[in-house]
Formats: sequence, C-alpha cells, structure tokens
Amino acid sequence: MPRLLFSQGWSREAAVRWFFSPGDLVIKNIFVEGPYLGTRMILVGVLSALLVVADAKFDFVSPVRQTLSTALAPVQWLVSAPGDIVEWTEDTVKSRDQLQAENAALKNRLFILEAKSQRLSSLSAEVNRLRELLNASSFVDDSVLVSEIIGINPDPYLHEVVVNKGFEDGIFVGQPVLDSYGLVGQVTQVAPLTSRVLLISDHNHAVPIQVNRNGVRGILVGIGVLDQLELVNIPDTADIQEGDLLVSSGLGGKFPPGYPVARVNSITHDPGEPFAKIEAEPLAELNRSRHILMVFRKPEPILRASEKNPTEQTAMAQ
Amino acid sequence: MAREEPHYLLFFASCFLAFCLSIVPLSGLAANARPEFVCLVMFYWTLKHPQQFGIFVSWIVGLLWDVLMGSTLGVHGLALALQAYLILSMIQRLQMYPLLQQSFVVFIVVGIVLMLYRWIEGFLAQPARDMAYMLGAVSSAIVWPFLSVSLRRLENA
Repeated sequence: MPRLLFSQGWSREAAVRWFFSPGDLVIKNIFVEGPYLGTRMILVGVLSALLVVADAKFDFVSPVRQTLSTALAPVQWLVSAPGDIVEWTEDTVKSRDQLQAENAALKNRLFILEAKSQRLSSLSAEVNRLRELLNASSFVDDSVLVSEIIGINPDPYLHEVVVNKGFEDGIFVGQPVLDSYGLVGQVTQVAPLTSRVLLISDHNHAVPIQVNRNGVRGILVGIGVLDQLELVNIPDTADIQEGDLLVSSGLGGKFPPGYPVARVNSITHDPGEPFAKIEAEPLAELNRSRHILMVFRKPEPILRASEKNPTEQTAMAQ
Repeated sequence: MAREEPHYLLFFASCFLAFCLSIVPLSGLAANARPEFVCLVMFYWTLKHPQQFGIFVSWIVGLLWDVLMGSTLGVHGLALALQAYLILSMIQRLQMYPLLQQSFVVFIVVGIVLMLYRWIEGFLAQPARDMAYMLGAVSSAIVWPFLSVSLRRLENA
C-alpha cells in the first residue's frame, strides 16, 4: 500500500514541493522508510502485544521494569524537587517564635499521645493474656517505616502515588500503607529506590472491613472518587448506621486487622435493590498526606531492632 | 537548508523535559487537559527527521514512558509507534502543511493515540468513565505550533 502511494503520487508531490519549498525540507525524505513501513508497524504491534501479556499476566518483565525505572529516577526527583525546595525553605526560614510555638504544640500532643499509649500498653498486654487463654496467636505491634510521597500518577483515572522507598528498604508488593489517620492503600510495584502505592479509592481496590461497633463484616471498594468508598453486598437488614467506624478485618491476609479505614456517611435502602447502598468516607487524607507509613508484618526489618529498645524501656519504666 | 544530521542532544533533552512535564501532578480538569508532551515531542522529531526517528525509536520512548507512568509495559509503546506510523504514512503532505493545518492533524493523531491507550487500559484495568481525556488532544493541538517553532529554532541555532 505505501509503495503504491509513493509511485503514484511522486511527480505531483515533487512538483508541489519544488514550488512551495519552505527551504528546510530534504528531497530524500520522499523515500522515507519505504515499503517496510507496514511490516515494521506489524512487528512492533506483535512485540507490544507480547510485552503487554507478559507484564499483565506473568512476572517476566519486572527486572526490565526495575532497571528502567532506576534509570528514570532522575525525572521523578526533578519533578518533586520544587516541592522539596519549598518545604526546605519553609523549615529553614521559620522565625524563632514560630518554631517555639510549633515546639510547644508538638510537646503537648506528645504528652497526650503518651498518656493514651500508657493505657494502650496495659490493654494490649491484657489482650495478649486473654488470647493466650484462647490458644490464639498473640497480638503483635506492627513496625512501620516512614516514607514520603514523591509523585502522583498523572492518569486522572488511576489513584496511585509514588513513594521514595523501594526494595532496598525492604518494601514488598502487597505491603499495607497507612497515614496517621487510617489505611491509605497497598504497594503494587517495587523498584530499588521507589515504589507505587494503589490508594483504597481506586477502582481496582477493595478492603475487607468490619464495623467497629458490632463486628459486621463487609468489603469496601473504591469507586474512583477520592473522598468516597462503597460498601458492597450488604443486606438491608444488617446493623450498620451512619457514623459507624469501619476498621480493617484482616480477612484475606493482606491488611493487618484493626486499622481504621473509613466512616459511614450515607445509607440508602431501596426496596427495588437486593442490597443496601452504603457510602463511606475514607479516614486517611488520601489527597493531602505527604508522609505515609509502610507497615511491616512478616519480615522483620532492620528498623525493628532499633525501635524495640525504646518501647521496652518505656514498658519497664511503667 | 536544514541540517541533515539531527541534533541528538536536543532530542534527549526534549524527551527528558517532556517526561518531566508528563508526570507533574495536576488535579481536576487540568489533569485531563494536560497536553501530551511526549507525543508532541516525538511528533516533531518524526516529522523533521523521519530517517532517524521512526517507528522503533518511538516504540522505545513509549516503553520508557510506560515505566515512568507505571502502566502495563507496551501500552504507551504501541500507541507511540502507531503515531509514528500514521505520521510516516502521510509525511510528504504533512511536511508541506502550514502550522495550523499541522495542528489539526496533531489533534487527530494524538486523539487516536489516546483512544488506543484508553481502549487497551480498559481491557486490562477499568474503562474510562467519560470522554474527558480527549481534552488532552485538543490542548496538544493548541500547544503544537509553539512547541514546533521553538524546537526548530533551538535545533537551527
């Protein structure tokens, strides 16, 4: 087909070209790629199809992806640099008064949290004793690693962020991610220095939860809207009320149990529908947090050892 | 007369900058209306130096774009290769067009690229809810004359 086009249209095209030549055209461009154009396109199409299948269904290409993403890391750093510079400047040029006020506020908050955690340690000890009586495995505190969001997926139909910790820091695929208010999502791709976190509000994400008040279980799915989640397949008779706190149930083994996820904000009972329509608002600040926590459960990271000592000391002091 | 040999340093620099611009966080309507800078830059190089920047180079750039976006490897590659194919199949006419007419072709080609990308992503993950992503093709067409002229100036400088 391209060959036909060239052989027929040559003389007229060439004439037009000579008449109106803007001066920066080269005559040999007429024979660009020639008859192999279609063949090349088909070859590339087949290669792409193979790659897509290999990437979507199997795990062949993740080493390639990791290597390339290390090479492309400078792009990500450059894009997040302005934000980092602003933050650094704000930190550096703060006045003494501001710093003192902030320090006082943080100290107050620390006192309150410490007071709360005193009760927490005795309560968790009690829970562990009770669980021992039940012959269940004891309730372990998870350790966390603080990481920073350095990028957001530019695709408006995907809710995904890039964080500055990768498998060199022990991050693994499927790792749960929190912020200081609730569950954020889970890790879906890991590179040496960065990783990608799918947010709970994404279309493809679902969390097994239970109502904190009475333990009713359900599955909370993202609908592609940042401040709304949907509780699916809940019968009209289930005891769920507006304002109920939904915590992760730990079923499915992906997320640790007991972390707050969302709060129910509307329930609609439609007699024509088999299930109630329940909407909930995520507690985590999905579009505002800059620092998030990666939760470690199975492999004990190096960080665990350094964190263990202070908690033990405080426990002994109490 | 244009220089026969393309300015390779400018090619790498423009691709790097286009990658940066394509992942700068935007929100709301701006995220949908973001011009597809990688498409535009590759459009320029294929149009200007079809001998050097054809289907394969576009495909490689598309694969890097895939890695950067975290999308399935090969989706953007295929879309950019298709763009190069479309450009090359009508390159003689395209090089003769005035900028405004080229802009119209950019709108159509980038539109096809975006549709192909959304279509494959729809198979793999979830289909797009609306047609708002086509705003990217409109904004690309608007940006094209400026980008084309400035890249040409830089290259001839």
